[in-house]
Formats: sequence, C-alpha cells, structure tokens
Amino acid sequence: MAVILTAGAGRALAAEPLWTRLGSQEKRILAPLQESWDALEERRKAKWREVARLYPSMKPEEQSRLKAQMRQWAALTPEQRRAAREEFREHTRLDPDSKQDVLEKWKTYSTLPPEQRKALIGSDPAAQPASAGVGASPDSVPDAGSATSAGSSSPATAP
Amino acid sequence: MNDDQFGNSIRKILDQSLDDKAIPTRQLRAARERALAAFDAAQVVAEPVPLAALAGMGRRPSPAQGGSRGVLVRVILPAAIVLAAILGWQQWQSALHNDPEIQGLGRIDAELLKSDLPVDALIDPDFKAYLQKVRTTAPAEGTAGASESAGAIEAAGRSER
Repeated sequence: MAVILTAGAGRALAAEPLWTRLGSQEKRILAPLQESWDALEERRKAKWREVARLYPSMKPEEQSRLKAQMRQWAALTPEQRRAAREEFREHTRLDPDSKQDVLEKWKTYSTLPPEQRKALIGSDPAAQPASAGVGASPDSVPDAGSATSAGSSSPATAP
Repeated sequence: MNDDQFGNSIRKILDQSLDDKAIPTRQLRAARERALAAFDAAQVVAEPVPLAALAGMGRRPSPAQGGSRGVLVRVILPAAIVLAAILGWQQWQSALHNDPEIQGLGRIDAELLKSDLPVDALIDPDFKAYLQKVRTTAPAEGTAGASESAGAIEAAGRSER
C-alpha cells in the first residue's frame, strides 16, 4: 500500500519541474518554450534542460540561432525530429566546403516559390533513396541507409 | 388449545429436539459466528491498521488506547510517505538528468539548433530530394556538380526576382 501511494505520488510529481520552478537562467534560455513547458513530458524537459546547460558555452550567434528555432523544433512531431537528427548527422560528416555548398544552396532554394522548387526536383523525386541525408556524399548514397542506421544512436523515444 | 393438543405439541418439540441435533447446533453456530464477527469488529477498533486508516477506512483510536498510535497514524506515517515520495521523485529526476540517452539527445539538439543550416532545410523533403538528385546525376563531378546545382538554383532565383 505504501509502495502504491509512493509510486502514485511520484507519478504526480513526474511532470515537474513546472515552469515556475525553473531557475532564472533556465527560464531565460528556455523562454521560447514557456507556453508549452508545463505540458511537456518529463524526458523532453530533461533534454531541454540539458540544452540549456550547454547554452552558455555557445557563441552569441549560435545562441541566437538556437533560441530562434526552439519553438519550431519543439512543435515538430517525434518522427520529424528523428528524421531531422539523421539529416543533421549526415550533414556534419561533410567537409567544410560541402557544408558551405549545402548552406548556399538552401539560402537560394528557400527563396523560391513552391512550383520552382518542385521544378528543380525533376520528374520523380520519390525514386531517390529515401535514407540518403541532406549531406550524404554521392558515393555514400547507395549505402546511406545502412551507414545511417549503423551510425545512429537516436533512441526510439524522441524527446 | 385443549390439554391434549398442548401435550402433543410439547411432545413434538421434545421429540424433535431429540431427533434433530442439527437445530441447536445450527443455532449455536450462528451465535458463534455473530460473536466472532463482533469480536473482529472490536479488534478493528482496538487496533486500527495504519494504512487502512490512511485510506479512510480506519477509526480513530479511543483516548483510552493512548495518543501515540494516533500520532503515528495521523502524523508520522503520512509524513514518512510524503518524504519517501519526495526522495523518490528526486532520484527519478536525477536519473533523468544523468541518463546518457537524454544527455546525448540534448547535445545533438543543441548542435542542430545552433547550426547555421536551419531546421527548415533538414525537414524539407523537396530540398533533400533536390540535393539527392544533383548528387546522383553528377556523382563523378563531386563539388563541381554541386556548384552546377547551386548555379541552377541561383538562376531560378534570379528569374523569380
């Protein structure tokens, strides 16, 4: 009985920490998530608090980018976040020139209207290997799926 | 009722009591069960089970049975349970923060979100397909192929402007 009561109390407290109980520095860093914070699962809260812990060591421009994208990132589905992490993992494997090339392409691509973006894809984009990441090199494309899964450490859960 | 009828009924009762030993036995058994039930109920009052009391099923001990048990039930035990819950929660939170999986995800997300390649680029399936197309159609050219594609995008962008 005591175990049940204790477990019940633990579950009731598991949604902690509520926003009001965060420290002032965490509140400042995680401010974009304030509205949705209390509804987040405890694992996602723990993940975001880890992000907040790393935040002070970032450059100012990195901090700005992170804060600007936090809300969008939190609003993605777990599957979208998982896929984006895989894409990012592939991107980080590129050499600096290739990374810069991808970035330049995105900067231009993102300004195009949807129909021109589709036109760039060509006839059958779905025929492209689905597992290849944004940053996958040409030679790695056929093996991108296995390489991705082998190098992946993303968990089943997606906080 | 005349004397004969009265005598017959008496006789019948006496005969029945002699022939049917079960009647008094059943009555005695029922009485015993009632007594036992009353005894059990008395024990519940005399020795309230603390956890039952917490669940609202117990009864407050009478003053004659001393106040220490009441203090145990009403103060110490609930306090101990609350304390155990708090300690359990703290351990759970600590385990979450020390979970290598959570820490790894935090590091990945921090790197991803501070990157100069925006999240939009990572989740846009058309952009991914476009890059894929460029690389698979010009695999031998490597960076040159990428430059070509960048040129194509820039041309498209210029035509848009």
